[in-house]
Amino acid sequence: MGQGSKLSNGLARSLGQVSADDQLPIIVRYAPDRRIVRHKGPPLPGIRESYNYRLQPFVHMHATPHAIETLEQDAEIVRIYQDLPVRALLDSAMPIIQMPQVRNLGWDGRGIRIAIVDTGIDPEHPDFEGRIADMADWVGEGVVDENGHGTHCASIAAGSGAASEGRYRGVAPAAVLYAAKVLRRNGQGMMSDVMAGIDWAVDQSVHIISLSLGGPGPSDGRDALSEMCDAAMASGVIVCVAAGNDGPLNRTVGSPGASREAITVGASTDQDIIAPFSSRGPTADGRVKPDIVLPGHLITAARAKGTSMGTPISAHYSEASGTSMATPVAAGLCALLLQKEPHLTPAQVKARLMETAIDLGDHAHAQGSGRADALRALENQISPPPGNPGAPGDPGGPGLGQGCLTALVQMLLQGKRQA
Amino acid sequence: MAKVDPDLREQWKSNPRQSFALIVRVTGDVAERREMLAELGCQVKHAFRLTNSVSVRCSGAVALTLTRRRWVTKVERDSIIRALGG
Repeated sequence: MGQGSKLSNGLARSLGQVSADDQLPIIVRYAPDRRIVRHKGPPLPGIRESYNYRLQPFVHMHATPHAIETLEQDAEIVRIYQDLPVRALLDSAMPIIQMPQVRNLGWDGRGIRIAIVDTGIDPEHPDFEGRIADMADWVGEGVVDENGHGTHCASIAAGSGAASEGRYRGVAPAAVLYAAKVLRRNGQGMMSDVMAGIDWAVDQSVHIISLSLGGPGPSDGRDALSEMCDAAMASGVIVCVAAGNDGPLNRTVGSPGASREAITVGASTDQDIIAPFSSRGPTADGRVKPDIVLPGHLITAARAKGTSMGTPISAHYSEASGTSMATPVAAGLCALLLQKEPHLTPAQVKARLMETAIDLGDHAHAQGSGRADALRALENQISPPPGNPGAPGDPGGPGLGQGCLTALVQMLLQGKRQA
Repeated sequence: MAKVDPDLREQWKSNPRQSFALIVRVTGDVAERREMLAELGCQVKHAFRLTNSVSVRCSGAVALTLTRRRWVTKVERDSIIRALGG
């Protein structure tokens, strides 16, 4: 790239790797005084405009290498970037639920024990060093995670982020972990083995059990596994369970998502909307589930050695989606709550997460009480009832989840859909 | 409430020699009931103190006899569970 080039480095490299007829997706930045940007004159060959951004002088288009060279000559164009895919990261999902503010207050789950009942864990991953108290195998394949799912979930709940200099730190990075392997390397297992894992975790005196697994819906919550979760809650152990990934159809919450007492967690995205795949209620007996939603779309967390679950992005991290990813966020939040208020019962923790959740404006069968929020939960900021936005400055919060950043993102998305 | 789903009971009747993975909920001491289930012809897998239940594998014919025991309150299929992420 020559001196004074308007092309970004990445675009310049890409131009050397494509043919003359390829149309690259690019974002063209015009001079700051341009508000609504349209190309003047006849259409340039090799260019297909797809969207003009209203808030900033950018235009998205597809252009051939030759057309890009022509655009470079336009005096009103300041810079040309390649349009690249983006992914929601653990480090971007956490700000949505106000984790940075919580971290500044010093809450990290220290002293709290979380059991991940799943495909096992990678005990050698740097993000868990010194904090795995015990592991157990219920499927006869050894305790080490050969699938990747359990490691990913454990990382979301309590990973230190050591292998990423803290970038992919979990919700409760100082909590102690217990790992029960109840799913085989193919990610499947039997209900009875999951129940055995729960029994074991309770016997280890853990505070919280995270279950990112389930069967098809709808369930009435009277199956053995759901009632095992109820029993664990009654015994004083918080149980977080995934709602399921069969959304957006209704009545897709299975076992143990339909557990009456457990905290059933659906998935939201980094745009603070319900993830399309997140299972919806009601349960087979008409109850509202999930109870809350949390980020579970395109989440980057620890990768077990030798595994390829989700989309590996490095030797130590992978990206994955599912209510599986949202559930350990809830488990981590429960750990922070217990650290701050150790007297809370499981039912009180559940109520706290639900009462302080932010209404995303969707049906209760999709969002439950709303998207849980770490800071609001820790500070017990009760939200107004759904559909009641509250007055400005109301300690109940924004009510409809329409903060200015959310509104800006939604405005940009609305504009892009209309292009 | 019925001890067993009617469809599952029919499967036992139709396939008395087929092996079924089941979860049996019991009253009384779960360790004692575990022994009793083994004596009745069940291959016992786990006993769960939290829910007073036992996971077993047995034939359809044996499963039918279980439901006649007063200390058996419910029998259900031990079903497949899957990870919910990827």
